[in-house]
Amino acid sequence: MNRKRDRLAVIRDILKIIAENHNSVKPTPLLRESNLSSARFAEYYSELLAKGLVKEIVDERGRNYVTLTDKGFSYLEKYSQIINFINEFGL
Amino acid sequence: MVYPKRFAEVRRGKAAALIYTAKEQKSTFLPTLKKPQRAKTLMPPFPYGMPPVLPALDVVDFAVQLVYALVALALCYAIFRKTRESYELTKHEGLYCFRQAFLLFGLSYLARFLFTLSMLSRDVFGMFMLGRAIAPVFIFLMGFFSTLAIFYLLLGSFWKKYEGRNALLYVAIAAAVLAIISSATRSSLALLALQSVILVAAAALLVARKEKITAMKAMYLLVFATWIVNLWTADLAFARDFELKLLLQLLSLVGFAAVYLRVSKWIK
Repeated sequence: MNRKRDRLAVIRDILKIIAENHNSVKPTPLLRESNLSSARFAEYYSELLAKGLVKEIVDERGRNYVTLTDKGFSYLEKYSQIINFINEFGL
Repeated sequence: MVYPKRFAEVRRGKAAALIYTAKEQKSTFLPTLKKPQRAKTLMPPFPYGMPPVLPALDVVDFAVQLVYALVALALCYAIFRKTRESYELTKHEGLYCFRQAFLLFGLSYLARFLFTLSMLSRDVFGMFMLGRAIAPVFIFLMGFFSTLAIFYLLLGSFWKKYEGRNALLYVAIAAAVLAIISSATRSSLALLALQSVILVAAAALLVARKEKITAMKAMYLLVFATWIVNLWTADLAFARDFELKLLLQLLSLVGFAAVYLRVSKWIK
């Protein structure tokens, strides 16, 4: 498997974890469930925030949560067809 | 005053002109003969002979060229639009190159149509200087966009082999150099020759790929062949046979339509 393909799959996995936790998860459990090192998780996490796939929300007690945006849900929906397209055209 | 016998009057449309025969011209300038006063008014309006007979505008051919350019442009833009969301979600390098390639192919078709139009303005409307001045600009644009599109299509398949975006800069420089050489010759023939070499090399690279993606390979080869056919039919000097040109242009549209259908199959 090449690095780029892995990258798309890792993003899909992170988004899936958030979606399966009622679209609200704290960063630490997310790191634990994503099976990534802290450094790599930080890299992906900042990328997801920058792309607008996830957003951070703070509740009334000041606790930090991560939720999916519409774009994040769209990514999860379209992931398989994008991967099929990339494979089909050898990109 | 014996001037009327010296000239043969020729009428062409509304303009009436008088033509000197060689013998009569000679006698006109004999020092012993007095030049008649009315001779000035009877001088031919075109001192170097009659104006060239210009060919009539082939309206059907023009309409076919216009429709062909618009359909090709629409297909290329549709492929570009169709892959927009996928690219925005993933920022995938290969997807970026793929969609840029089709956008550039679309621009090439537009430049190709403008080049054909400049050839028409030269041949039909007699605007020799305008056609001569503008045609190299369109050859440059056509050469630049299409060469860059071919390189982008290749980079889309081989993006894992290069690091960063420097490769995009190098291919842009190479495309610009090729376009300058082509426009300097003022003919699409040089562009056709140079791009044929590039396309053969690109096709060889694609065929030699380790992955067995035969559908993709066939499609890319079809797009390459399509572009060459399209370039060949761009210059009015070649492919003068209308039916043959129409058939080749239909085939080249089929190439892009096949890619569009393939893209639509995977991206709803």
